[in-house]
Amino acid sequence: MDGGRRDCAESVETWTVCRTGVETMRRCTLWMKPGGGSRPWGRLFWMLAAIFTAAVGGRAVAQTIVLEGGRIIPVSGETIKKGSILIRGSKILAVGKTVEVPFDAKVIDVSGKTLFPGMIDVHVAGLGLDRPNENVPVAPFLNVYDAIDPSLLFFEDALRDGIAVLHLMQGNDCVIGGLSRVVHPIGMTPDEMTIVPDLAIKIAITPKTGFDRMLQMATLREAFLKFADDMERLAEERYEEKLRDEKKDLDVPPAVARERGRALIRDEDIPDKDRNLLLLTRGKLPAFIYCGRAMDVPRAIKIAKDNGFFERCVLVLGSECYKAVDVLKEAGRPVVLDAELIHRETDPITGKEIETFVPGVMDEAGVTFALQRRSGTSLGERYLWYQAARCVREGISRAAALEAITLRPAQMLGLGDRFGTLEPGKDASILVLSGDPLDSQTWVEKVIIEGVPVYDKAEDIRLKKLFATPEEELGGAAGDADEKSPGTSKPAASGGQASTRKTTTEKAEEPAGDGSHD
Amino acid sequence: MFRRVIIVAGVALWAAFCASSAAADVDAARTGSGQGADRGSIVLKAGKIYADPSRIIEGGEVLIEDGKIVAVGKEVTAPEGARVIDRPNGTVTAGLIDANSTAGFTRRTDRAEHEFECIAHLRVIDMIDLGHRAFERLASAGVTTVYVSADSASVIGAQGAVVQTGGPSDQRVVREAYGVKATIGREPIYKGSRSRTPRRRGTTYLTRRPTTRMGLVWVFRKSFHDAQTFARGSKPGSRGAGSPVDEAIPYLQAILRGDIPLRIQARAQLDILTAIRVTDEFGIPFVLEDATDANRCVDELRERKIPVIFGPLFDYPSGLRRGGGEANRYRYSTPSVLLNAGVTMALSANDLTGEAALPQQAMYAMRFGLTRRQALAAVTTTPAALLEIQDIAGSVAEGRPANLVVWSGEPFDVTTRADVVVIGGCIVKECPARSSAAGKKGTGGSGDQGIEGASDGWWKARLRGVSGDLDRL
Amino acid sequence: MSRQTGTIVAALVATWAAGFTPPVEGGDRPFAVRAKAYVDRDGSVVNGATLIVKDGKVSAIGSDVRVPAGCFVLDRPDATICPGFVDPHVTLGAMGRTGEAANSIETEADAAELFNRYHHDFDRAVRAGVTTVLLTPRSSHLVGGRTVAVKTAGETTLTRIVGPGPIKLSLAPAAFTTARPPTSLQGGLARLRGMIAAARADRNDEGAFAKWARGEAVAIVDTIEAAELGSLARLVADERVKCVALHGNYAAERLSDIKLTGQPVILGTYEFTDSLRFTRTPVILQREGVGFALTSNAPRYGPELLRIGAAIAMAQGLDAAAAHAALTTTPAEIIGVQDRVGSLEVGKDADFILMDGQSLDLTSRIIEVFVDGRRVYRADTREAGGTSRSPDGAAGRVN
Repeated sequence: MDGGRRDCAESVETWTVCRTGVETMRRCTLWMKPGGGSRPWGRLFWMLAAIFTAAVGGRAVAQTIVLEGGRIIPVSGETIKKGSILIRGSKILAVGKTVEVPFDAKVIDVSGKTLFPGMIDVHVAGLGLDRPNENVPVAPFLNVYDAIDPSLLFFEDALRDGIAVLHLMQGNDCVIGGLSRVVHPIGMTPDEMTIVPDLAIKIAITPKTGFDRMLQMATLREAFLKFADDMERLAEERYEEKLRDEKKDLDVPPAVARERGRALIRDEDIPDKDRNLLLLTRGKLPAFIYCGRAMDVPRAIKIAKDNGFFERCVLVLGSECYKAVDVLKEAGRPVVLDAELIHRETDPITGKEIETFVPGVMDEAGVTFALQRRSGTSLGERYLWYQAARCVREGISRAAALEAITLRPAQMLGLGDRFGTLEPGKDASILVLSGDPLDSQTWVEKVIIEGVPVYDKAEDIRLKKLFATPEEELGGAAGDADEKSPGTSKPAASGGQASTRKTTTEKAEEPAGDGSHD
Repeated sequence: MFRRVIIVAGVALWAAFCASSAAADVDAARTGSGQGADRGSIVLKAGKIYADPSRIIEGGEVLIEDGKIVAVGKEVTAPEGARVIDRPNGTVTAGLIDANSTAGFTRRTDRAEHEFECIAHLRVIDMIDLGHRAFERLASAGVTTVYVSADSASVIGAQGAVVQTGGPSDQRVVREAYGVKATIGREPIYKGSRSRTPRRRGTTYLTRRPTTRMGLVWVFRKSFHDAQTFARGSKPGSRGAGSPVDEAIPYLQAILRGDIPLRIQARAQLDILTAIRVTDEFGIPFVLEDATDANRCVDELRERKIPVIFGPLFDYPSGLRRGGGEANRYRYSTPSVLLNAGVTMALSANDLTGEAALPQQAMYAMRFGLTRRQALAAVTTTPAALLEIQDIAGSVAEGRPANLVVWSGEPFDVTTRADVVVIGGCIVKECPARSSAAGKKGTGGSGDQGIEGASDGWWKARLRGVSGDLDRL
Repeated sequence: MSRQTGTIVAALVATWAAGFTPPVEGGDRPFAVRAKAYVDRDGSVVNGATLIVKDGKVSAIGSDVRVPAGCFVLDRPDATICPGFVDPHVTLGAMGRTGEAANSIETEADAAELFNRYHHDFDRAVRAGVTTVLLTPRSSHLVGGRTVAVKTAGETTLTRIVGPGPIKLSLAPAAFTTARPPTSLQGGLARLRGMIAAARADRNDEGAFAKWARGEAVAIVDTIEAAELGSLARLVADERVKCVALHGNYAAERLSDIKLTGQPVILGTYEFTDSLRFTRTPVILQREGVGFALTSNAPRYGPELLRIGAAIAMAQGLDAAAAHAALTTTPAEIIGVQDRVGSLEVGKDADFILMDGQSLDLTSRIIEVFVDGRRVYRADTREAGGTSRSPDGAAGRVN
């Protein structure tokens, strides 16, 4: 098949990687860009030059890689006990027991390891951001882009924990929040991290701080009503304007005028602050609707249906929402479960504590769910694999549990064709694990994001520090990296540069407690 | 006063406690209620029995009669009418022991006695709530015995207690008073919320708290010094602030004699070294609690044979650990470093219950380098030995109280849960058996046993299985 | 004979005129009450009641008692005779003034000093059918002091005091503040233990605390939270003292602790809005064979809540006999005045209530209240609305 075209396409893809994934590449690109006009082949030339430069410089870039001889859990199908994955550029080209190894491929032996798709944190409510909650209740004009702090240890931890895709959202403490962004946990700037900008909007049904439920709902309804009103008025004005231009008199009733004026509204007519609401109500922007309590669920569904974004909404649930499982089942929308998988409640009559395993209820009812982790919590619930393993512990099928941290969240983000499974054509977002993903003894050994190996456990300075022996500890060889100033850590070999770079920028010992997390 | 100083002596103590529960009417009241009522014979069958960390019986059975383990082996002769619980995929271990827990504490003000800095004469058992939810959650997680350690608000705190997390109410308390807890670190300073410099009214008990580590060590040293002076028959020179009250002195003297074990909570390296230094002055052996920085004092701990109750494991400190700055140099490797250096180490979840309780600590200790046997020892036999209850807890053997856990798979695997928990011969938790761990869809949380007297349909699924006497209400 | 008639007529006239009667029947003169039924000592309702009162005491009661000739008879053919209610924990007439804050231990304090017989709180208690109450010091003291049992009506302070009650202790959160020692439950228990040991060493100490410490008397111990019941049980088991848990809200959830105390529990105050978790406690205690009394904690709550609390418990399935016991005999036993009040038996005080229906039915009305054989309250007939239930449906007559 026409290899030339494919190569071209891949190179362009590579460029994308540079722009989004690896900042060195981006710098090369920028540096070389002045001469490179806007024609595609010109860009291609510079790209190839950039890749070449990077390769010579010993940088890890997207290339042809074969991961050979590992156990492959593709999520989408049967586990391959011993197989290989061919990656070219940012994409997976082939997955199978054997793959054809191209002459230029870098072969990485992963025998004894497990290959698993990069896990996806589908709803990062406020973490990775500097101050994630805005005081203004209705703020669809905001964008988390402006709050992302790539230097936070949070991203480094995410990478270490095998999370390749993060959906950064505004915190739950809002009425209508700003736009979210899907990012990789790697990169020096939000742009470099970005996979998909402005993906979805955040809406909270559970009251914002200082709001009660009535005010929350009233504010929410009013926001949509006012927007609809404004649009009607705008339509009418546009129609009248048109008549004026044509020197005609208004000859139709207002309703007709509005009808006719609607088509005359130009994009620039819509106030900036309402633009996202327009996209939302036209079903062009997905909404993540936060429901902290079961009582919020039907209200969320009604708001979504009334305003035209029901088909594109994802419900983010508090643990009590399992009580609304019937409503959720009927609605058929995907849900993101709370990190607290067990709902605890005091029986009002016996005073005994009742525990309910929420994913169990959802699974039984057939509701599509994704799992969340609780960032900031020590151990345990911090890990997506741990959350999935708890599901298996309580009797949910292994396949469903694995999907809940990979494929399902990818689909919820509308990125099911790029992430979540190991299949040809998907993005090469792959974890090399030391064992089964649901085994507590398993470590993430390598993370490959868009074809670039960005994390290597062997090069993980922080992890080394956490595993320091007393000799290292007191000798200060590896132990005191945190006490030194950034930039003095030892240079890393190729392949591990990303994590090295991250580590040098970490704030010493500062947990990722970056603002309130609802 | 000494009547209540429970002198340490293995089985004798257990027997002594049961006997000292005294008058018949009281005992009748204790046994006649709650879970103690019906304890029939139970046969546990499992794929594997960890009798103790070094003895594994493949495909074994355990016979429980009258609250005791009667037989352990490949096959036991079950009496007529015995309840058989068969978990071919399961494993049996002894109930886990947390040697440094805060379960049963209720309100915060209750924990600290602000009257004196040295309260070795007080007993934690007087204020912990044995019906507290924390115990239920611990039992549900497979932890059957805990040492409730005194609060860290006092330099020399109260006497802790060894209690069961469930089971017959007459056997809940294993040791009413065992050990005295001292704290060296920031917490006695920090928690003395009333601590302030004397203003008009001079020094009162409100201003008595040390506000530096120096002051803290002074209180510690002065307490034992006074106790020593009294023991020699003379009166200490000055008995002002920092001197122990008269009631506490006999207990301090018992610590000096070695009759009451001393436990010291210290986290930072400097505090651990201080603890070692000041106890050296008096020649008191002690057990180190919490010990976040223990990996930085391995040699000192090994030389002096100081056992460590390490935990909880974490990767970011929270709460007081975070605020105090005492736990910033946590290391994943500490448990294995300690064990490899030959330090006796037990694991503890301290204030964490539920999901983060002891099994998770063991799981992470394994993730961070321990073998399963080491981890098992660190949550069963080692803490039992440290609490001197090794003859009644910590391993599966004939003649011991039946404190057992049947796990759904290998213990401490993340996909394993405590399926059956037996405390004192009572089944306090029983989850329905699963046919297999994988491939079966939708059984999660459907272990609905129903609750008598409660409206049904209000909740849809339960996790904990049958438990406790309250179900009968 | 004619003089007697004259008296009655005069009394009746006075009744009609004032709507409220002074004590009609003098303390010295015997009189009889005939009613539809009466509540027996064991709480059962016996049909056909004749009660003869002499010198303020019950001289005879039963369904087949013969009324002696010449005895004045009060005929109440629709009424039920019920012993006056006993409330084991009130601060009537002294709310908010039952203990100063400086010390946590007030062994020598005596609630008798608080007794203000002129206070209107007592009138309300009488109207609610409460005839004997225990005045208790507040719960903000580890050792609050001695309680006192008083009648809610009567001539003089002296005659109204029934006798000293048990000592009042408190393990409730209110007793422990950081402002004064002890500041914690463990410190409090250690204090009590030390005091008990000291009291036992001193045989001559006849104080209420010493008597309790020696096991000669009970103490009423405030235990609001569940944890405190455990501490109380531990104290009882270790020190062999007698303790009655007050406000044992969690008694049903801490049965083993309650059983260990070997004493009845004082429950309440129950209101209609209370959680089922608490209001079903009496039923569970009854099933488990644990005695219990109810309290209204008046005047913080209305004294009427005593009767209402019993009705709430009955709505959860408590039987009438147990409810009667919880309002009368059990509290009298806890207070230690069971020889005088709590039931209508020969020789006991003639403290009783006449109700125009079933005794624990909330639709029944208390029509007359007698304390020490004197009528201290009579419902206003004009309030009654109909004649059929009028307290004066049958006039008194002489046999």
